[in-house]
Amino acid sequence: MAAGDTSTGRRDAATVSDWDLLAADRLRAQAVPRPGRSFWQDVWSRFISRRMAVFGAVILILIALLAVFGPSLTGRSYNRQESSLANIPPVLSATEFAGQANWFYVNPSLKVIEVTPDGHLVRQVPQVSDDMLTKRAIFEADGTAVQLDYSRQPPVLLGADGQPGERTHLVWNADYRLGTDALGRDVLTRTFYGARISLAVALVATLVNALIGIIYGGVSGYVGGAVDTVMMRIVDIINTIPLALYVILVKVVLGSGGFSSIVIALASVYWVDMARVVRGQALSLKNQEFVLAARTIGSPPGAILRRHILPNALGPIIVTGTMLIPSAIFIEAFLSFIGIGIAPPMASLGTMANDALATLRSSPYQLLAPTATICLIMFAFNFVGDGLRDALDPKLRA
Amino acid sequence: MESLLEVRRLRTTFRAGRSRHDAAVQAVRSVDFQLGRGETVGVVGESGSGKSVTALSLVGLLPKTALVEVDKLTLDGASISHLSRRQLRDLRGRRIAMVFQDPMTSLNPLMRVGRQIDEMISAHDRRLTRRERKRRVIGLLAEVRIPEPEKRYNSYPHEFSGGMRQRVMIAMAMALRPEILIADEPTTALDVTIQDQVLRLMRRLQGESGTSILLITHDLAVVAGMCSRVIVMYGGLIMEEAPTTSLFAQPMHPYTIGLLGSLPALRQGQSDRLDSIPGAPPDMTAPGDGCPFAPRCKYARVRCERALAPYYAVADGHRSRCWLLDAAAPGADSPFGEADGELRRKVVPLDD
Amino acid sequence: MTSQPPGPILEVENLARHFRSGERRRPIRALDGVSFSVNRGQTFGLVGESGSGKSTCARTIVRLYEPTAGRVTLDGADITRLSQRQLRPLRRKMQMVFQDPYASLNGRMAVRDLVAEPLTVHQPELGRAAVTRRVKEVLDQVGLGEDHMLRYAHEFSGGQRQRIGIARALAINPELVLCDEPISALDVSIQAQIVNLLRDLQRDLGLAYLFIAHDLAMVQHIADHVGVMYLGQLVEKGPTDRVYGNPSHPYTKGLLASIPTPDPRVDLTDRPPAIEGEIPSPINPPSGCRFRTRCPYVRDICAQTAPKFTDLGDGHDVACHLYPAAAKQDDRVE
Repeated sequence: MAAGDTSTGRRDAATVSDWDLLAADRLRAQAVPRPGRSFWQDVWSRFISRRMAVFGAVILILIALLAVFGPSLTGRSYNRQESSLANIPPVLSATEFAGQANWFYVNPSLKVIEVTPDGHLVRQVPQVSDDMLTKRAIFEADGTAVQLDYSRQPPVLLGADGQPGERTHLVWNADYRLGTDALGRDVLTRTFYGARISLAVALVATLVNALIGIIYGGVSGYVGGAVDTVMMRIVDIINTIPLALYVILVKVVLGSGGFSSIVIALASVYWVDMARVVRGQALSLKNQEFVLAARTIGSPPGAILRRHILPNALGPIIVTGTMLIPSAIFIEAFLSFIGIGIAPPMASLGTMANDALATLRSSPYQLLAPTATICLIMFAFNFVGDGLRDALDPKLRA
Repeated sequence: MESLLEVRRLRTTFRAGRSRHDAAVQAVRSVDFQLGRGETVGVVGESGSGKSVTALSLVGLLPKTALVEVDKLTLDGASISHLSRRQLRDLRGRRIAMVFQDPMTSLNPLMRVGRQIDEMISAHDRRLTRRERKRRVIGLLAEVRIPEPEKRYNSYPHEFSGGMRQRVMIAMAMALRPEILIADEPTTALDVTIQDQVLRLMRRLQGESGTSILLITHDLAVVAGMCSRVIVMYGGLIMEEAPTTSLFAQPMHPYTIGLLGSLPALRQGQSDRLDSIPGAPPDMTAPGDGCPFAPRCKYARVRCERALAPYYAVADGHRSRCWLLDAAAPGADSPFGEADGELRRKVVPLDD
Repeated sequence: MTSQPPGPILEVENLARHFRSGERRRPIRALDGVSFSVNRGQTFGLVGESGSGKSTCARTIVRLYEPTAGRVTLDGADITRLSQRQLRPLRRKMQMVFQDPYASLNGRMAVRDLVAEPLTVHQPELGRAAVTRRVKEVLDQVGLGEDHMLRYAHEFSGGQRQRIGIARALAINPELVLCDEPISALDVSIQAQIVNLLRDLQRDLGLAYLFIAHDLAMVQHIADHVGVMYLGQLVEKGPTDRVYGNPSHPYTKGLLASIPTPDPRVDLTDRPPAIEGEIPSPINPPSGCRFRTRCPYVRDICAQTAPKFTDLGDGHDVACHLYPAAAKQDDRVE
């Protein structure tokens, strides 16, 4: 090769090096690809770029932490009944009387509760007499009497002299942050336990889907043929019977109820939707060339399922999972609500909602806690599920 | 030849994805060419060369993520670069028709084939009655040699073979006797025997209607048989343009030379190595300043990596974008063989 | 290549594979009685239109499909009746390269694991380091480097992916590689790279190829022997230079004539159309000779009996009534 600036380089101010052959290292015969991101790095970056999905994930983590550690923070148990302090709301309207350090609150069942100004509940004030004619009840607190005039709506507290209190205050319930239920149990603690049950059900649903649904569907789809037909007919049969019936059946068989019957019922049938999804994936993936390649290599069917089919079906599997989990949570809550799920005194969001129905008019806050929690859990799972779906399969996004 | 379509400095860029990590893809970096009336011009290139995007840019069929810029785009002397979507839609089919590689995705699978052609006609010509249109559609099906056209009028696309579907697409494209037919890899998905039939059909219809054809393909042999002029694209740029005969006789760009060398010719008892082009197609997100082919070119000079060559006019209607044609380029190791010295004396750089 | 022919590594006799068709009871005769053999260190090319049964043939040979009838002999051993488990050790001798470089590599696996898969199946005794060493070695053979090992398939171009696919096939030192349209999804310049690579590997490793393609020019370039398939059957087979130099079956003639010549002086419409019509459905193939519906030389006898193979010399066989069956009775069954 000649360095050719001899005579012709008039038009271009060509330097010597300009016409040198390009060095071999600048020629990329087999270029190393640019450091691309792996599939999961892509998924992660797409997921965290979706605000609602991240928000949902944070909420879920918070709820899970509270479900685990919440009860030890409140220091109360789900079944400890304090019947003297029943139906106390999270915010109290307390009446102050001159000369009294503590204030008084009347609960919906016309019990008078002594409250400190910073919101601690002292005790239920004992009733000494009740005049049905004048609709006045007398309560005796530390030597001074308080009268309750329940002829008016709402009832009014009067001092021993029959005069109304100095003023009324709205104070936060410092002992029971979300109030107590009709049996005097701490609603907050029970909500934590309810969330615990909901998340446990979510965990069971996940495990069942992962262990049974994925394997069942994978085998059915990959093996195909008559095996597939039989396995899918079984799924069809399972699918025709409502889950509530299973729960009742399990309850009858076990003779006892509660959490275990729901878990057993879920475990025995809740994997069918996942099995269907995985089967569909396996059916389409098994004719892909990379699976054919694995077969010609001689990889045994189990290895093909594990190494090739399931990893490539993971997107739809995760998406289906995040859609099935909230529905499992809802099923548990619903079954408990209608009384065939978690048995009292165990707290489930469903049983709590049911209990709250009785006192709905006088103490609506009791319904609010479990329903808001279940809404939050469902929303969070759905947000996360949507985010995962978009992150795993950007093509699905409209 | 009268110029029917003229394109100057067409650039098409795709925004890739929403994330900031994804760089824009410069699919077409600068393309200019003319298409004469009744002429067949081939656009040759490998995947990623920008040949299909060029065609789709011309007729406004790219998704909204594409940014198309053009200095001049005229059809029969009138600019069509600033037409609204509606005006473009009217233009497509009536004056510029397209045929794509995959006839299955171009046809609505739930609609009878006859109805689809009918719809295409009625969209542009509302004067015909239903009966007249049906007669016209059956005539078209017969023209593209679909057996039993009356019966086939009521068939669904899946009842047609790939070759027949492509005939239907051609029938649809030619229904309104367009001035230009843009055929984007029309025979790539077909077998050679069917390709032969389809190319003949295009040729016959062209003879009857005087339509100009822009034939986009990766197959140089198809171009050799069909086109009078060839445009060779690589990395979103035209590398070489020449009358077909001179391109095959005297390719003046190392890429074209490599492409021709990669073709195994049907010769008697040959067992020599093919001249392959090493490396892989360029990354269109960061094209760099130099010649996109330089990393794969065994004749590449330092200059090729530093700057993009202008076009050099090799002969009448034959231009090539290669620094080695420059008067200052050294004569040794030339890809252009013995003709090099003599040829290069006549080469003139063109304004870009 | 007409030197002393070495013995066959693969013999296929009357191989057939029928599929169940959807609604009707009649089977799809995708592959219907095909016989040929592939010699050690040589290439047998299989050509034909899509729907001719080329890919079905390869997939039946490697037992991705169970054969309906016939026999496959690999290195002297009849593998047709073996169970998948019995077949597994024999798969070492026979590997496959697929058409689609995008679909044939599992996108969730790094290149190292992709290429190592056959090693983990067939040489489980190898340690991790030994496997990595071998992967490096084959990647080097196909022109890829060590620095590619931890990358994922989607980061590579089509040609590079096909190299990975070839490396995977080579990892366990097979004697026969079935290449099912290995280049048809690639760009022209890349096709030449891959074909050159396959030829170099054949020279260096003594591989035998069953090379399936619809690009007749490429098959001529790479194959020593060639078979032309039509509608599930072979219509002509023989040494490549014989078949291409003297195509005898009307289908082969037409097929060769339909290839456009890369020569602008030859106009497409100068010659008459090569073959009219399209390949019929394998559910209901024409009686007698299957090509008769498109054959320009069709006679009465073509509809009545299927032609037997006639030897035109040098192992060049053609199944057509134009060539009187004076020659030997071949292995054709009805």
